[in-house]
Amino acid sequence: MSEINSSAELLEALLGNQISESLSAEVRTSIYQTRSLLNSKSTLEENLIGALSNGRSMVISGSAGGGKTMLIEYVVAEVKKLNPKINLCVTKDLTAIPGDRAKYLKESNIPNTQFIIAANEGILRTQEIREYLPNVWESLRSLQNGEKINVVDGIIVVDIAGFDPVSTSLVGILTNQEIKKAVLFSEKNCEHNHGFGCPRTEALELLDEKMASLVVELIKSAFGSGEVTYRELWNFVIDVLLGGTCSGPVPSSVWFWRIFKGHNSISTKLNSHHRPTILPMPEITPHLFRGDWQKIMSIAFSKDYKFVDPGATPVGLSSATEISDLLLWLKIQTAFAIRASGGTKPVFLGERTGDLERQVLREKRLDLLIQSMNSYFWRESRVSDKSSLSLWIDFATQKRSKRSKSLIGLGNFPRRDLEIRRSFVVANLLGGTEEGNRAYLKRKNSNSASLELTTHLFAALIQGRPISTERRKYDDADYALRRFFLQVFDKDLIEDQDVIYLLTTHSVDSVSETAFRIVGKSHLERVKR
Amino acid sequence: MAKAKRDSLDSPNPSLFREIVKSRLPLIPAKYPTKPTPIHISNNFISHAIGEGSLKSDLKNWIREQGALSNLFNTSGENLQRDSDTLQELIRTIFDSDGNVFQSMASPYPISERVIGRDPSDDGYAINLWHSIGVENRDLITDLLKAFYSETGESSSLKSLFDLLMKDSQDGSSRNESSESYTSVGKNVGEIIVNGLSKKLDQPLHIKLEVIRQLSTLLGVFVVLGMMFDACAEERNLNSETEPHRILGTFVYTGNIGGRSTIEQKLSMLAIMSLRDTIERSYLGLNKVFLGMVSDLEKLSPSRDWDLFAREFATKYTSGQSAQEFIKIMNHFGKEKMFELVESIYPMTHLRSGIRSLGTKTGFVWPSRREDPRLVLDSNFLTALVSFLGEEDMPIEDFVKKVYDKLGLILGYSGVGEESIHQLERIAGRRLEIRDLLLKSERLLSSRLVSAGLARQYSDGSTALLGGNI
Repeated sequence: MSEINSSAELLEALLGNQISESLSAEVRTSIYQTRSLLNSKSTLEENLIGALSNGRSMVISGSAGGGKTMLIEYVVAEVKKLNPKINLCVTKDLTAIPGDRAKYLKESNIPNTQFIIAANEGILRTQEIREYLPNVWESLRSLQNGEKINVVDGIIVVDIAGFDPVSTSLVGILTNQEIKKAVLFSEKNCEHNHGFGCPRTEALELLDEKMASLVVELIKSAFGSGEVTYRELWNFVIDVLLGGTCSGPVPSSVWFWRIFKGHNSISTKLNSHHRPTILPMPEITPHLFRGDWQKIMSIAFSKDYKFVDPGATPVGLSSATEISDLLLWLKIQTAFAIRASGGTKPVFLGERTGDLERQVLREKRLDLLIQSMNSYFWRESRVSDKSSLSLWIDFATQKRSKRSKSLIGLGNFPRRDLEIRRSFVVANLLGGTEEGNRAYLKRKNSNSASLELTTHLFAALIQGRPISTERRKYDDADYALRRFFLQVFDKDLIEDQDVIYLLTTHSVDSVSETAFRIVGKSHLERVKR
Repeated sequence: MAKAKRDSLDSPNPSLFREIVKSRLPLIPAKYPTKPTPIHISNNFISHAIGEGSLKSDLKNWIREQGALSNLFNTSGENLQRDSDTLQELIRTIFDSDGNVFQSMASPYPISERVIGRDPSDDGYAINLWHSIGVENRDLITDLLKAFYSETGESSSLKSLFDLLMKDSQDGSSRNESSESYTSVGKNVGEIIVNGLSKKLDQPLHIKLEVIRQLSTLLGVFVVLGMMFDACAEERNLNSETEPHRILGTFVYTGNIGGRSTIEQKLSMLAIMSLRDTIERSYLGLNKVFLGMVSDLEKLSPSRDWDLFAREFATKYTSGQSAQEFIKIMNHFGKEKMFELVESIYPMTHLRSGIRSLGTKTGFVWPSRREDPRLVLDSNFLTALVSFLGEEDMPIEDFVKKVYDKLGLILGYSGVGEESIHQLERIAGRRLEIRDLLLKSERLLSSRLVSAGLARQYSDGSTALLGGNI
């Protein structure tokens, strides 16, 4: 296939948003992004191909649009290249099989024949399917709850949704040369902006690995541990690269504009989370307003990143909306150029609020998490050096306008007996240790207590426990914390087993802790602190 | 003088009205609709089940009398005073976090069977709820509560403190016997309590704490439901065997209170309209019950004069001073104005006030004032509902259906019948796309359950409840 033909085909498929179904195998392979593994230099695909070659069977589970079909097509094609005579039962979507699916599995001689099946999770839960796919549902559930599963010769189970496509694939997709060629192909006749050039293609030149990594960071801080599916990601990529128009004083076709202003779910979230309109750039903004491009290029752009001229200046426009949009357009471009060149500022708003979550989850800062949880009840910033987790109980039953003034402490749970544990994504392969995108605070080596570390929970921790019950946004997270305390409590692990604590709020910024020791089942004494 | 008398006969007299209709509407609010709290109800309910505690008087002293706990310290002087005061604060935090313990009457946090006691502040809700759940459920709940409160042999600093405080006390007194049978709402409510409690036995003290909070919240919610349920059934001529959703079918706002997205606003509006409709139906039912009682007695002796009839009617349903008062009221309004009688002595605002007041205290209604009220799932109620109705691995669809089947409350789309959807369409005047909204409501519920640590959302978007003892 000629280069022009493959670009045209890819462009058509991208614009039609039918990636896996409509592309030729050649083009599909050229844009397929393998999933890198954290614990080895290999990819998921390589390991699955190896396992299939060794006669293992597997189930790929995940949400609609999660990339199951593409994964199966890719690995099966590769396995057949290695072993053309392989007798493999391939089911790209068990959910789509009409009629009695259990009968289908039985007629396919599953589980006694080698198979690879993709299915949504819901269907794997049903009793009749579980009969033919023994332990698959249980393995899947355990993986997602952070329990390692590694049974030699068991059916391999892959929770594809557990892989974070943003971290593992987005940089590769945004910088994929075939896709770039398709975008350039789409603009081959562009005569926009009276000879100033095509903003879309000029902006595309800026989009290197560093820029793409910055986009990944912005998405990660906006979504936290929330799932982004492959379908959402592809919709985002297609919209960012091919959406909008080059016309007008504010070209909406450039990727850095569409990152926030595109018409897709990820851009909507990025815009509301990072609020680029309040991006702080006090020293640069006046130059941007006046259209002093020479100055801007000297401050923010280098030989690696060439300034994309919009063809207009804010000061030369009359519409207030256009002025503010163009200024934003320029600010975002400049901010990306500075950050990709190694600058630490300007920082998008959402990057700051996601700071705690990032540190706790990426660096596994259990100490920071414990401090934040303790501070939440103390309503103070993270200054506590306490290394154990205080377990507080709120005895209030009635909903009042104010929360309880005092809380009772069950004791302090030692940090050494807690752990931040990730979900896992592959059962019965790779030692079962490949980590996924969910995270939990758990009692060490136990599943008896578990607190899912979500973006919502971190936001609650940053806010602190409100005194007024009118502020209910984080009530559910507050309950989740207290529920975890009750579940994790263990009299044999708790420090100071015979001490009972009282936390009293005197005012918004005045909280005190008192403790009594129960001595010999006969009397009490105040614990000196 | 005559004017004053006329005013008193025209004035609201909800306690008297409830006494008259009590056999059919046992849970409508009485005189003080804003007074009862969940802890009042749970204290009385548990007391009716297993009797009062032997330490109920001592507890009042521990909390109210300065220095009452000083004998628990070996210190003296200023330190003793300070320590004793702080310990009193600690004891208050445990047993009186809601502020319902006074010298005259007390409703402490019923974490120990030894401190619970009866308290008239609940306006009679607990005894009426207790009666309404039926004799079989009452027996089961009595056994379960006894088992629930029994020692488990575990230890913690909290348990040690309890042992220290209660070392010389006795077990509680015997319970009240009752032979009345269940009402329509009572049967399901009784079953929910039985099923919930039976999963929560043999728990350590710190888990019991949470179970008691959940039970107290649910008992309050059940009373609010009872205020509407029986009257709505009467309004539609439905009997106690009728499925709850055919009687209520009330939509509950499942999102975060204060949510301001377009969808949340639409759902909130639907919940406001749905509760308004339910209260109006309840009030019509309440009228219907009273007018039916009058009509039934009239049929037995149609020719009697009104004064004689009023006497017979009043003494049939009440006695003494109350009967005398009701005779006067009936004579004041006369035979043709029975509807006006109900509106005067039991206005709809009174019913609404009872629902709103207890509802907001349990996290079942919001807000407590200003805006129109709606049914909600505040965190404290949501967590209690999941704990008592949910099961490990239960898909959210099954949970939504179970709440609909057992309590007649609509949380989402799963399992909701056409009849209920048509009812919501009628209420909303086809301004809202009900099916779509119910699907969105279920999604909101799903995300709230995950945020509260009660459920896990799996890869294909399905949500299932987590297990655990709370």
